[in-house]
Amino acid sequence: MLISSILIDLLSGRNVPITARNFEALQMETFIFGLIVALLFLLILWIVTELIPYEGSLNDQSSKKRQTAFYIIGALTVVALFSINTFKVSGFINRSGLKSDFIQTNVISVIICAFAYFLIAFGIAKAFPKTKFGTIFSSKTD
Amino acid sequence: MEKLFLIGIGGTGMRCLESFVHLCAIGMFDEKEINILALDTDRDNGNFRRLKDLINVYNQVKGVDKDHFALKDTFFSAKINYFEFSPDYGQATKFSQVTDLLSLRGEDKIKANLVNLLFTKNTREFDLKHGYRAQTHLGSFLMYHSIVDEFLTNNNGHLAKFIDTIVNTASNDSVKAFVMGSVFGGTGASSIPIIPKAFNTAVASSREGRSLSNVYFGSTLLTNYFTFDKPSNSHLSSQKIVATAEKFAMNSQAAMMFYNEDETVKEMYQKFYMIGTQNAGFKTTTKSTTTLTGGAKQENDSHYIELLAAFAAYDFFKTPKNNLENIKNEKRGVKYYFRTVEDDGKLDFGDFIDIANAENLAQKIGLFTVMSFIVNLKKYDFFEAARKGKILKNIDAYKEIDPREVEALKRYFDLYHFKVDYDNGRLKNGWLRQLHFSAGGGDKFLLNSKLFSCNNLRELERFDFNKKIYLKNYEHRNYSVSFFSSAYDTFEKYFKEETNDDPAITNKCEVLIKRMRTALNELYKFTEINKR
Repeated sequence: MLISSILIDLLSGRNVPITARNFEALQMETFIFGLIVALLFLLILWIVTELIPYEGSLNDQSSKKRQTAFYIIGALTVVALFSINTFKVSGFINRSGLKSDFIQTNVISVIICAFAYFLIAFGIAKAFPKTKFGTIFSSKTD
Repeated sequence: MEKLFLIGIGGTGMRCLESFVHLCAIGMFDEKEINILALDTDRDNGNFRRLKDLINVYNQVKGVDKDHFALKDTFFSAKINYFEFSPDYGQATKFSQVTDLLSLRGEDKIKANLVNLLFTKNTREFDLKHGYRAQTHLGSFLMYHSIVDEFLTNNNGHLAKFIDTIVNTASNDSVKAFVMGSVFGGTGASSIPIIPKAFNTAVASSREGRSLSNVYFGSTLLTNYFTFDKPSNSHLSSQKIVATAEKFAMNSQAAMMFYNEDETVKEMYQKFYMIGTQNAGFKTTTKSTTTLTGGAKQENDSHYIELLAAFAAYDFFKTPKNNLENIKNEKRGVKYYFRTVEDDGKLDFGDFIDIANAENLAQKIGLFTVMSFIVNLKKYDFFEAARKGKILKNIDAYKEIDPREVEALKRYFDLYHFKVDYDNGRLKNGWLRQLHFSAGGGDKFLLNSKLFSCNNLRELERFDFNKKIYLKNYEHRNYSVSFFSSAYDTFEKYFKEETNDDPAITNKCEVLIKRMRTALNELYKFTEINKR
């Protein structure tokens, strides 16, 4: 299992004492959680792009709409992960030293998430260029 | 690649050719090279001009400044070579001047008297610029000599090139040539009987060792099907001779008797397709307030009977050569064909073509009509968007497509279906809509009446072409769209994700047309009939 019981327990509201012994495991789980959040929001992005119809003509704005959806959902992903880590996970850490260390973990997790979101989206778009998802990264100049 | 030869004569012949070109555009003549000769006495005639325009844009779609090829399983598949001929009487505009009747009077009084006996004074004196005005005895005489003279004196002319192409093709294999025109008017009625004979005479006179013995001829016998207002007395007296619609029925009857009796005609032709309507009440539209004898303003709307004539040509071209040879060798010669339609006047695909191919025709006309929406409405503007890289960005761009080819395609659909005036949103009816109205409107003509009830741009843009193209028999030929999607969105998605370019075609415009057709074909679930 990628995420062991510590993070799941914390997210489900169960109080697990965080000590120096299990803090390292929590850090790793937070990074993996960042990846999972990225994948989850990418799935949402895929559905949203499919729901935006092609409009035709030279002024087809649909790919711009998908691009906008990409940025909005990307921002939501980062904000959501940061909020979960800050308000849900960090709240259970009682030791002040570990708490301040977790801020760094949170930032790294958010960066991993943002990179994963962008890189995987880019990869999918390039792998399936004929799909609506593929239009997100189409060039603006003709 | 089989070469076929088609000759359209007079105003009706031009409109029959127009229908035939539309059949080529929908893909009824895959891998065929069609040589078309448009023959009219009135070179300024509106229908003549419209045909030229149509063939010109057809050929531009197949490539501007590029070689054209006959293709398969696509729209605009046939290769069309266009030839035209209008008799040139030089400065002379009247029969008496053309035949130099005045000098004949001085030299040979017997001949001059014979001419006077056969041709009334008005017939001898009317202006020939606008055709033969239902004076077929005069028309046959003049057209026969015009063809022979032109062939003998102008080797580089269109007529000579057309006949030489027949001769050259016939030297290797037998050739099929089809003639289209009416039997009740002027130019067509005058020329159908003499065309094979005139061609034969011309070839025998100047191409040693060559003949047209290997050529099979077929023709329409198209009886009266339209009417127009009676000319005023002042117009009649100024023009001397004016064709009147009230005599068309009598002309038709006389012509049919002639085609049944004349030995030369029966010997020269192998198949005659007798085509007519129950009543001849169809009124040709014209902007003019006077009865027109011809000219640029004579641009009549198309009629479904001209599509039947085009299908007569289709049937003739499909006839196995040994059948035609057998007919040619029979003592009685020519065979006559006709078909009837239901009493309710409703025209289905099976009324135009054999039942086995009716669905195939439905597929082609239906999908081509859908294409007219996607190409012609500015809302979609599919080809221009594709050319500018807006459809397939960074993938397989169609930037090589010549803008003139895109313009030609749009112009083609203007002529085929509708032209939108974007200033006021009004529509100008194209060929298909004209045919629908000629059949009586409603659900009497091939496709869904809702398609033809769109009267302005707004209605066209709202039209659900994914499910309202066909009538009941073919209703299941549609595609559904999801709640968040649209007919166009589903098409574009399918086009991008499920289809690919045909690498065998070099012209990008034709590549895009074929790919578009493939996408539509699969969306409307026609793929299986192609596999049969």
